[in-house]
Amino acid sequence: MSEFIQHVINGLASGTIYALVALGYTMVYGVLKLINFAHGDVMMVGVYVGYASAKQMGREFSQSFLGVCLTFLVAMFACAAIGFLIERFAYRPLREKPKLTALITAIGMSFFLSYSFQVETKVFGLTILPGAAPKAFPEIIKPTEWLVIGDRAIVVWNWQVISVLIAVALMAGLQYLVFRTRFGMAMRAVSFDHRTAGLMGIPVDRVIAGTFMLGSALAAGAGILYAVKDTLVQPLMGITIGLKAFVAAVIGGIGHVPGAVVGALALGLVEEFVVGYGSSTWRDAVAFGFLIVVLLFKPEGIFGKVTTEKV
Amino acid sequence: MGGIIRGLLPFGVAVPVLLLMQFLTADAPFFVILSLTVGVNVTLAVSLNIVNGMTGQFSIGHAGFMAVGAYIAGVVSKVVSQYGISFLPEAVSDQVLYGVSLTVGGLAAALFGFLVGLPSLRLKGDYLAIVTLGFGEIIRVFVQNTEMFGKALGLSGVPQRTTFFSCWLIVVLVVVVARRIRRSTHGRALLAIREDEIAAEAMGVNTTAYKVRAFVVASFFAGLAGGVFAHYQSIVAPSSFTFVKSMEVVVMVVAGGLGSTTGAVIAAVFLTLLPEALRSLFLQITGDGSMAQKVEQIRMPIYGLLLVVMMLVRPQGLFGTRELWDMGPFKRLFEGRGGRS
Amino acid sequence: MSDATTSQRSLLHVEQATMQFGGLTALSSFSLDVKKGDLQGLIGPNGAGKTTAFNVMTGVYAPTSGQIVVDGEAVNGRLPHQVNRAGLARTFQNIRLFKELSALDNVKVGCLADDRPPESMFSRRRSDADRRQGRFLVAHARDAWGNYFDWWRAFLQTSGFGADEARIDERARGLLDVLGLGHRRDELARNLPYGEQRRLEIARALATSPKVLLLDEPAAGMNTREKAELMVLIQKLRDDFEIGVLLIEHDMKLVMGICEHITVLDHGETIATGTAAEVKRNPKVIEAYLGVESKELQA
Repeated sequence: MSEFIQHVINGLASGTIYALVALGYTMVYGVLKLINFAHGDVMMVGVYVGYASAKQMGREFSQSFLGVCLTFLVAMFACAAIGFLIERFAYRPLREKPKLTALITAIGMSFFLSYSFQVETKVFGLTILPGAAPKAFPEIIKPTEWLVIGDRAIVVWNWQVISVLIAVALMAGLQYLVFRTRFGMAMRAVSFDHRTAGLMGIPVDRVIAGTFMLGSALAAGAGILYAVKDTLVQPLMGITIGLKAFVAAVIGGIGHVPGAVVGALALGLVEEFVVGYGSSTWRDAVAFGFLIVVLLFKPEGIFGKVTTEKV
Repeated sequence: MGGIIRGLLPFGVAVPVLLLMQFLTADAPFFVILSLTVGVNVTLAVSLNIVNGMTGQFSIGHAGFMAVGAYIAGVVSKVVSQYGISFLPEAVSDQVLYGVSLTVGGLAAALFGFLVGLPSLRLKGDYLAIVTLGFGEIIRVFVQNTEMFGKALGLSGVPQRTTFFSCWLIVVLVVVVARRIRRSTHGRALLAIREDEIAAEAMGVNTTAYKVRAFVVASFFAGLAGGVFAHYQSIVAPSSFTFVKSMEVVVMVVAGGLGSTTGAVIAAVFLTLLPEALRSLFLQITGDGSMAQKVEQIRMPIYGLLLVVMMLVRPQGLFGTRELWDMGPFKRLFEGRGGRS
Repeated sequence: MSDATTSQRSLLHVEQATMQFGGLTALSSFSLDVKKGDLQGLIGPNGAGKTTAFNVMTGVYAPTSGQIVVDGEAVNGRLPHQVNRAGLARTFQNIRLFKELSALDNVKVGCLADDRPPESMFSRRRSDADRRQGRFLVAHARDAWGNYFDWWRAFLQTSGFGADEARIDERARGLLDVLGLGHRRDELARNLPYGEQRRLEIARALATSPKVLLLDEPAAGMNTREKAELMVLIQKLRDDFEIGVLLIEHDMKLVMGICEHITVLDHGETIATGTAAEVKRNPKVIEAYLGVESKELQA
């Protein structure tokens, strides 16, 4: 029983991380109707930016509250910038073209980002591209047991609690933004019909750019949390996590913001249970298996509506 | 019956030509291996073009079907090679059994194509991409965990049966199939689905059924390609069938022009030979493998960048939807073989 | 089922079809009856639900309630390609041609529904008959086998296949000629002038051998002369192909000119039906069109 609860705790903790990334997918899909395959890889870049800044700060400072905040902010800022650039120069020109074109670009971008980071590149002694070897992310949060029940039957780690708190804070912030601000309203309008929204005077380009930046920033936060949890980072992590987060978004109903969170939590739990009670080598297949099951029975996702195309 | 005789004409021409080439290249193993690699890639590209190009879908898991074909053909071959067809000379018997293994591999891949395609092609286009990607990954994880398929180290000891002749005969086969489907009612239906699925549906085309059928045919050939691959590599390892491999094929199809079989062939040949050429060039220049390794490493990000730039600058790829046999002087040459459009 | 006592059986019969999207009722209790030789009109202000009605009839949307019967066969809930094979063909408000295909190929795609000789064991006529008599599994098997067999025939280039292709080619050319597009045979659909594109859509729809042809604003964007020619053409098609025609149009002159029966929609509801003269005088119709020059209605 206690093992079960432990798995639930672990699953929820990792689920919240997936949720932050899934939110980016679902928001971008909402406004652009595009699956941004490169989303996970933008996250990966953010993780490495965080890595670099934490290393620069040195052990002491990076572990302080200010240091941690700074690491997060730098990474989120970097991702927002990259997200903006990608949208502006790779996706925006293709907005009126058939969907397939943008999909191909997204895949190409994902490939480009993740595999260029695989090639270790030094310029004037500075490593600007890390290379394929996994690196240990600096220990910005010293792992300590936050809550121990029984004879270590159930252990809740401090980083798990911090992770959930940060994730929840970010999601609450997003919720506020989407439903209580004008920008959020503009986002929702664009997701319904971007042509009409434009005619209504909404600066569609800016809204879409903003959505991208927001989603990318959230993903950066998720990435850092993931790095804290897993310690090892490598350039292809973006693809794996990105795909799982995308699956989570689809499970919840792509385009549906709370659905992405629910889907991510569900995925986190299922993954944890499969690894815990089954075998860890099947971990990566879980997400896809879950996806196929959902697509077979309720393709629009848990909260999705069956959309009919206007003829 | 006369139609079928005329229909088999391309093979009537191809068989002696390929046999001749096989004979001529018997002493050049390097060239043969290279040509086999090219042949496999051309088969993959032309078959993927049927789904991604002609039907306008977005499948990015072709390597998964190649893997199915490779593993199944490999296992069947290993089992069957212990026996032989008694009344045939050994070499011929080997080839016949090889052909049987290939076919079984191809059919297995086709079956998976059906199982994967049927649920996902009913849905919106974006989903197929994710499902095919996932399929590739699931296959990989599956064989990595299964004793029978050799787990992470792969299946070893697959008898080496691939010849220049058999490999390129399959290439000729897939090209002929692609061309003939395209110039038939079915090809028009597939193109219609690509152009406007809703209108196609309204004109009586069972779009889901057609998409699935295209997918099944493409998967079959991917399976054949996998089987051919298995029988010259001799080792079938999961690392040969990663997402990277799927992406390579996608790049070939897109660069050649979505919908153009000719484009797919040319792009596949070019994109297989170029890295090889660069690699051996650098090997000669620097002596050690470092530069060559760098080439291998930057190949991937360059492919990614190529896709991005192409979509911005020339989304129709090299050939667009045109075919070599539709252009001027070639028209008469090919018209004689295949009949009217 | 068909009414054996009357001389004309109904080719398209819509009974109280309703279409709801969440809270919005786009179509409410819509009823319609089209017989062979009919030329009917469906009019109403923008957003009245006319195209929705078309979409419901052709299977793009499954009606929330109501019945759609095509030549005795209930088709509600069926997929659009099945409804097409039952006998309904349509054109689209915003032209939906296969842009990268030639005019001839566009029409040939329509011929798909008819690509096997009716006597063959795998013909659609036989599988449709199976379906009508409830032998769904047999129909499905016939279709599936026929389809894969077809792909084999295409690959092997059998003479049967060649004959099929020749037949489709001939039919398609004939249809293009009837619609006055013979000279545009090999032109890519996207290169055609607007009026010809609209006619090509009609040719393509006719290729599916429909019993009833649904035209969604076939005259949109045409000049007066083209519209007049189109009016004559539609009537001729109706006679030559022995079908029923239902058209959506905004041009009152065209509608009043050739439609024998008109249904008027507003906000999804049927506010009037009858002959052109009756509908013109209907106060509800005039009110719905308020803001439009009333002399347009009296033209």
